[in-house]
Amino acid sequence: MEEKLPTVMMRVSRYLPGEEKPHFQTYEVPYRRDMVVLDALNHIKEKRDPTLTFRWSCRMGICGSCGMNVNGKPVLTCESFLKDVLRREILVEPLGHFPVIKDLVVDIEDFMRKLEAVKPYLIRDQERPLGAGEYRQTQEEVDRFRQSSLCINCMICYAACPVYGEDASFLGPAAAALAYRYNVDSRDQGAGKRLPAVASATGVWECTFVGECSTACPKDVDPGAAIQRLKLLSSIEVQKRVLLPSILR
Amino acid sequence: MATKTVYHRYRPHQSPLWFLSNRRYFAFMLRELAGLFIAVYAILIAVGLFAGRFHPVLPGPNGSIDVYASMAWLLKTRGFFVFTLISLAFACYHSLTWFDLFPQVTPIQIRGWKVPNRWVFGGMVALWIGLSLALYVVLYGGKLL
Repeated sequence: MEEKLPTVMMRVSRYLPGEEKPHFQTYEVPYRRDMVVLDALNHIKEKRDPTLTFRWSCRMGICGSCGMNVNGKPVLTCESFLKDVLRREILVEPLGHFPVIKDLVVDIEDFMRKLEAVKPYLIRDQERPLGAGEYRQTQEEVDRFRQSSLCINCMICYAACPVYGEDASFLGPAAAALAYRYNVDSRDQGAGKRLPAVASATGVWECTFVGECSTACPKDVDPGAAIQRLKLLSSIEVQKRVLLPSILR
Repeated sequence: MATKTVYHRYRPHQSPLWFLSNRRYFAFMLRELAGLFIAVYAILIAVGLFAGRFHPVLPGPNGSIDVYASMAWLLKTRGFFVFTLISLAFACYHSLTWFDLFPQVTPIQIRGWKVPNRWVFGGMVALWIGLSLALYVVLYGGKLL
């Protein structure tokens, strides 16, 4: 005989393309202490309503696909246990500040453009020949960027950032953290090439250091701190351009 | 030729009262507001110092106005006393929250060892209190007012 489980109410945001605004739909879902919010959404999709749309993939906090606002707070739903967000109705909405495509799926085009703008890869003025061997780094050099390299592009920091909510042209926390990650990498020489995106009017200087991006980050990347350090690094880079001849930069 | 279908998206708008939705948002807004009080207080003190040094006289509707005498009168009013207390509270709040943020912006490392943020915060508070006491001793010789 099937075990009768207690239930929990899920209030889920629904939106169909073309509708004026989203509405809410409530579902009753079985509750177990080891269930996460994503399990509950998958239960709804499989047993109650196959039209409910949301993104997910790895179910282990790596892919960064399942970010949503749960009870108003941006989280990875695969890491949020029902027991930790339990209340009369658990509210599930799409990630804040992003255009909604359908139900809980948001448009990530803007974020992808920003990622591209900061050139998140190693840039060399001139590559060493293969015969010269690999680019070696000390542990200290790796430690300088390790934290920022843990970003999984889940965009939770954008949903937590009121500056991005106010002005979507702001570069934003994750893209800035990635720019920082490469700028402080001893193998990289591309800080100057990232400068137009980082130090522009919509770059890091828009950040007022609310700090909620770092609090919300599920990977402890601390993008808020990365942005503040980028402000310092980009100021130094600009001063170098003004004061030093190109051969000394 | 293939055409790209563009679907309508719902664009959410941030509430103008966003800072009330979260304790940390509110703490941030309070820190920003604190800057306003500190700026007004600093401007008033700067004007007072300028007036004390140069004794400027400005034309007024009922004759000339001695800026220094006006400032001296203002500083003695109960309203300014209350404003000073509020500014002091905001200055303390602003300083403490900034000391808390400082090690995030500039992590301090000694021979590869990262000094814990709490230690940096404690050190800055100790330095702040020490400098304030030193200033007090210089100005008032350590006597109670």
